[in-house]
Amino acid sequence: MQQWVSYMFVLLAATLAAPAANASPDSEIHDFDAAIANDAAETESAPTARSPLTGAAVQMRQMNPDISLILDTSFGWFSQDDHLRQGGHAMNENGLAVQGLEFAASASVDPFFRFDLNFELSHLHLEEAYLTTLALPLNMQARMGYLNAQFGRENPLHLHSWHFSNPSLMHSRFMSEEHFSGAGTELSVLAPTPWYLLIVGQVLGTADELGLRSDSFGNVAFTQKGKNDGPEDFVYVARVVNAGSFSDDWALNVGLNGAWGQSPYVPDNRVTLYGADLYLKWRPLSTGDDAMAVGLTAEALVRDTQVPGDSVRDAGGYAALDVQFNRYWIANLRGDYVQTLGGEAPEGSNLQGLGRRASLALSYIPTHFSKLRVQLDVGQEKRLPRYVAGFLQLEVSAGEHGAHSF
Amino acid sequence: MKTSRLLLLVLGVLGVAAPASAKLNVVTTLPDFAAIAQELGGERVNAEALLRGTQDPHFADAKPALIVKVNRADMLVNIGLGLEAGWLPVLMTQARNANIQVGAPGYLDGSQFVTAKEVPVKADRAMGDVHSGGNPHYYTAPDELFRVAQAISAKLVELDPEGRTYYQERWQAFATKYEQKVREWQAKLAPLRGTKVIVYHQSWTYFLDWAGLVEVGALEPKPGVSPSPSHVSRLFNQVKDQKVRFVLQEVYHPTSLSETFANKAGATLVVLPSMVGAADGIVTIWDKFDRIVNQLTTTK
Repeated sequence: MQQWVSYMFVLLAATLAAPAANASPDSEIHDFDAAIANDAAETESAPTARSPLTGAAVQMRQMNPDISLILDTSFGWFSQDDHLRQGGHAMNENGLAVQGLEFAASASVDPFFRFDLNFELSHLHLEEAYLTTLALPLNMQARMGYLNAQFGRENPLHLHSWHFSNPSLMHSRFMSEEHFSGAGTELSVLAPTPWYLLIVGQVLGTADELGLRSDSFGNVAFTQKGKNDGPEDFVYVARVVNAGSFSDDWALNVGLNGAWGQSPYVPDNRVTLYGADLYLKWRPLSTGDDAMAVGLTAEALVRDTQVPGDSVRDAGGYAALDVQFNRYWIANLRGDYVQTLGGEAPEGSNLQGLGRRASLALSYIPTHFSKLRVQLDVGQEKRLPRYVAGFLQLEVSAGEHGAHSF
Repeated sequence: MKTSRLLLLVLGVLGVAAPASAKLNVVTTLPDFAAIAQELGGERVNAEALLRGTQDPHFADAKPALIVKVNRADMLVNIGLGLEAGWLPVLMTQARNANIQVGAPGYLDGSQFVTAKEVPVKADRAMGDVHSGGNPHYYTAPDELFRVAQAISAKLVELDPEGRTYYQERWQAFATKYEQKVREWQAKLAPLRGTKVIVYHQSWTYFLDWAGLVEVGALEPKPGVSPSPSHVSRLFNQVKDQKVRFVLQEVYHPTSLSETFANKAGATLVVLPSMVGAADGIVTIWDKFDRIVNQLTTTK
């Protein structure tokens, strides 16, 4: 534990020291000369800011966080009661329900940190709350707090960023009912390569439910000692992303993911997750048809879990095609599956079972702040008959909602 | 031994990949700012825009390739007033570049140097996608763009004081050319003063005020809301006797409805380049305003 405390202090010190990291006596003199030259230049030619500080503009300059509320409410219908597990925030029964009411806030803390918060008001739980460093040297960035695991493309997304009204089967079985997330810290490095190469490492605590939210890894109470007694009791996540643009119109992201932690079935035994993901997007910016886009997402993972007297391997994946016809209409098609590949899974565990599902969604987006979606699912769990489900989802966002990652 | 060779290989790759240019690396959201920075910075500057001129600046993707560009920037110039709020903050945070964060020496918000128009007394989404600081499309007017150019020039001197004389000479040349071009454009546009126009989106407010044209309505019922048949019909009834001459829009909005409206109203649809790069042959701001002025003055 002491090592982790030391690590945090080193990180903090590096952050605060970063702006002066390259300073030397010579550079300081040079900076001083430059400052004198700047002052002279500014006096001669610098324009002055002209925006009027009135009304709403004054409000903009107050240092309040950007705050937004995002509501997702749905009507769901299933052709039969026995159907695939739908996952967190998804409709699981016939009728009307609030899928989520998210409170999001974000702000710069100071020149060195940014703060982000996502709290789920309808189910009263913390989704994410973390600091992000803005000034670490060597292209590094750290995040600290309660974080979604950087594993694949789907897990870091919040409900309002989904292209379907329910998460993939893979997500529900391997990540968690919510997100695979936990209290922890992350360090990432953007490599100085000509293309985008990002290397991410995370350490998540497992102390209690708010320490770790996972359907693959066990928490610290399940160790033989029942308490945190070494680095093996944490969950470790690694992700490498390569991305490139063939042209202005094409973009490709390829990610490799790994997560390591302890088994929830045998104290001090292990679970490993390996995954890969791909995102290919075509958006014809060069011709002015930038409201149109086609995206292909594919993601797959394999899990090895040590269980009493055996090791179980299961896998899952999905592929989704998004076709944006114009600024207002998007169609999405998804096929997903989960399957046990080998080993004897404990009765009642989420390690067993075969599931398949196809989903077709159509979304109407009248403005950037509202969305209406209809979705049709056809799914089947191994021993159960095929079922059909339909969803009608309305999503609205009020306030200053932040930007989204690609 | 194998490990050390691998390490050397990795370091070699990183070393080769590291930027070797001593030029000031200017990254801008708006292509116009990149064109201005390149003109003002000459051989001391590499300027590149994140947006294409054919792209709607409200809806860009925060693509990783753009993160790399912002990561390597010495200076970032943005439009401001919330126009890039859906994508630029992600690029800035994920770029891990302390030099271009808000308040850092390399950060320049162009909107700080313009007189914002249409600043709402109360910003409410019921009014559409309004921006609480005012209409952000100031880059359609030469005078506002000139003020931002002046700020870019001052920032270049601040970040690269050794090139001060060089930048100031280029600024003088830019300012002289601006005065000459403005006289030329205003002379050509003079006969159009008072001409009534309909716009698709309220992007042309600054230009119309500068040129003396009069906006009498917009096809979008509210900013960012798709034109509805009922609104367009109501607008037609409102303006049918007002002798509207032009329907103006950018290249990235659909033209079918605008064309129909223009035909019914006895007006002409003119698709104008709102940004540098919006059409072939527009690589500088002079090209952009030459094209706009020529399109307006030659369209019957």
